[in-house]
Amino acid sequence: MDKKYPLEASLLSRSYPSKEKIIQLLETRYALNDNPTLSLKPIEIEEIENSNKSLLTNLREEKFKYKKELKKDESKSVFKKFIKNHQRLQKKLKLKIQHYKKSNNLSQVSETLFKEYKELLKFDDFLTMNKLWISYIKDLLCILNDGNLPNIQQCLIKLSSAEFNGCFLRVLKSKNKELIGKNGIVIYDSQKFFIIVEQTNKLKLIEKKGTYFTFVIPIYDYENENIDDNDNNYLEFNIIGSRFQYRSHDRSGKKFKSKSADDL
Amino acid sequence: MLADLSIPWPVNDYSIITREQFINLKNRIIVLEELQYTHIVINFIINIHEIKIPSNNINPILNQLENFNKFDEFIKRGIKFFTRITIIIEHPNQGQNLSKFYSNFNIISILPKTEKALILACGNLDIDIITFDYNFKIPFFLKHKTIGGGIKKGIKFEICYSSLLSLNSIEKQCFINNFLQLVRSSRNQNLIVSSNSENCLKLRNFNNILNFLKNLGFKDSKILTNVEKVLLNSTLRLKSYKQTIMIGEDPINETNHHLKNPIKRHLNEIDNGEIFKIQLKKLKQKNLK
Repeated sequence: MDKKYPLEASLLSRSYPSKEKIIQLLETRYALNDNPTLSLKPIEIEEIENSNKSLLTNLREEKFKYKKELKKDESKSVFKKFIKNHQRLQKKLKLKIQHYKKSNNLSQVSETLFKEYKELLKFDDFLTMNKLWISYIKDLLCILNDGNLPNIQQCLIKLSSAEFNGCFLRVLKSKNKELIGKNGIVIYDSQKFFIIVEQTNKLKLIEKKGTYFTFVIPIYDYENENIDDNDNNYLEFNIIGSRFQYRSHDRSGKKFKSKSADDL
Repeated sequence: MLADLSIPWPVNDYSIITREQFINLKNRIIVLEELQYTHIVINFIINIHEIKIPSNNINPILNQLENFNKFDEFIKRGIKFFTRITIIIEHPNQGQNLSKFYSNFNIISILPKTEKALILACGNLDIDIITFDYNFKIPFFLKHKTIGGGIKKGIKFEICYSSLLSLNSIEKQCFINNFLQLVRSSRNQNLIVSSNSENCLKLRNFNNILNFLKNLGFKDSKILTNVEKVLLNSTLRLKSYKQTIMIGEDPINETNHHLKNPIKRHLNEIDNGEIFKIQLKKLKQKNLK
């Protein structure tokens, strides 16, 4: 009621301090007739606390309220700090293991001995995320387990605006030859990088530009059927990273334009 | 990889080809295989103003060769076939609607007859190749400004060497004249070389032709990659959505003509497919716990 008639509500706020009272008044007035009418009667004056501010300043403050709340939201900077801290820990752990090996003349040392290991991300924790993603992508593409396949062009259009957090990716080709063959579960899809967790519990930032990513969708029901028998039932897709440099929420409503393939 | 981007289809309309024409086509492919070409494109040339296009079965090459089943022996030896349409445009207002060709042909090219048609092709249309008739003199002057607009969009310009080898001396003269004009206006960028010959005697090895063209003042060092880019661009049009996500790993070397549903794949065909299988097994084990 308050949002439906904003003008009347702000006018009444001059004479009544509590919002509930205003809403109650408005409800009784518009119970029968929905046309916006306002009949004013003289009433007994209640005391108002914040009478110093004018009506316009109140309106303006409400309009820009969300900006103040945005500044309080620090999730992005916290996330950045976490990733930097994680990479620092990874390096530290690597150096410690090397040092330990040299001083004790050992060939192999397990990572679990060190205290940094407890703070690192574990690959097994993200398996449920991957499981959710597979069921999501099957729903999106309308893949049922009976073997009927959807139309190819609609598939590709849906996939280009799909979500990739939780997908299991593998790098097929890349300009940077050290990246080829890296694989893991995506935990964040930023504008220029995929952030993945590898099977060796390592966090890795992989640049999208100049790389091709492979992922696979099983057509059968992998939770109940035997996986060894179904080697034939997979769909394979490739993400062309150079054309995929958008954040995920920008990509969902984007119209892609056709370009020449000279730089691929 | 060597590719010939233009082997003309024997007829210019939708009539069925005779047995002799089919044998002639086959002979040309045998000669190309001998010259170590691996990717062959069959070119269907059509004049929109004269011939009406049917509503279905737009592609006569796939229809009459039964999806290249008649060339099975070549496919077994590792030769890849593609189809291409060349549209002759005289009036710019009639060549606007190309959308029905995109889903039926791999490569789409345009042969402009007037300067207005060339400006349209360089500016607005979404095509791969612009070609010219090298047997006659180009009836207008090629400006660097219009050609440069096409180069920015990534359109390639074609040189057909078959008229160079003809016995008629006027055709030779026209070829050299046109060739020099194209090289001047494009500044040696975005050029490709193909045969466009209707006779198997006029096919040559790629290096032979390149040597001859270099004598005429041709300097492009990217000419082999340009041909690859044309094939990549055209195949990605069907196998991807605006080049964001594609099906399969290598779009050029996997030839599936006009697929409507995605294909099931065996794990052996996927590069390192075992990794995905292990991942799925992990998920299943977690479910049991």
